[in-house]
Amino acid sequence: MPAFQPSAEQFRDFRDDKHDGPIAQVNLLKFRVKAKYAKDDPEYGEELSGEAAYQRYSAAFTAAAAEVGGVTTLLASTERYFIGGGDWDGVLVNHFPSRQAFIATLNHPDYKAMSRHRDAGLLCQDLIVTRPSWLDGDKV
Amino acid sequence: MTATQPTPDQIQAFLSADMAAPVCMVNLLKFKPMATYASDAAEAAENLTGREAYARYGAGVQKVLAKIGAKGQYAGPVNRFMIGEGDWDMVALVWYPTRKIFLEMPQRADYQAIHYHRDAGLAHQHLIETTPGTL
Repeated sequence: MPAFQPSAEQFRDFRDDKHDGPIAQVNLLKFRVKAKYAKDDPEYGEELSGEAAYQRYSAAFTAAAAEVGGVTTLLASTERYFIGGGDWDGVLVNHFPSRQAFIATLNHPDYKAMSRHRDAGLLCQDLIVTRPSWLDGDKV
Repeated sequence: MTATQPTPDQIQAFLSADMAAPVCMVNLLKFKPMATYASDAAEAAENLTGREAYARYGAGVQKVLAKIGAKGQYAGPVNRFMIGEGDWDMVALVWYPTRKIFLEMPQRADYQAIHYHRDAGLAHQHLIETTPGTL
């Protein structure tokens, strides 16, 4: 069941997890057909796809994450399902050295400014928290 | 919809795409609680979990990928869903320099030799074909 934000419980469970170590955040994304900026956004009324609006968010997010050691390793659009079936438009994977680094990115002073692009472009998503076991062909 | 293999339509659609273009295949995996090896397989007596059986497949695939110029970019067990909800046990991303290389891999003897671990461990999966860097 996709959603737009973590529930209070999901956020708490993530924050309070005792596991200390790198995580990879796997975002499965569904975009609005057309971007929907709020009336007081400077982009209000701009003709733009939801995907293009989300790209603005993810570019800014990647830059903010880099300040705490976060790295975007995949930003990809879905061509089709080769096995099984579903409706995701894109996949975004961000690696962080720790869960604290991810939370720090959400608390970045620029986050409010960048998240308007997410609000405008994203319809819903799953965010799957994973712990790296293989990276670039090597066991970690 | 749960599946472990592509349908004929899915294969046909894949074949209609650019065979020379790179793809990143996004695997969302669900394992069997206990592995189901054939009774005459050496592993049948080991009482492996589905996850352990699939890990043997994964380790074998990494070696094949290295030989064909592809790359197991990432794999990690699912810790939790932070937004939305679902029931996947692992996410694995595999990058292929061309669709053709992905398509030819199952015909290799070294791939076929390890494939029984996948059958033993995997309950079902989604495999999302993506074009990296396009978003």
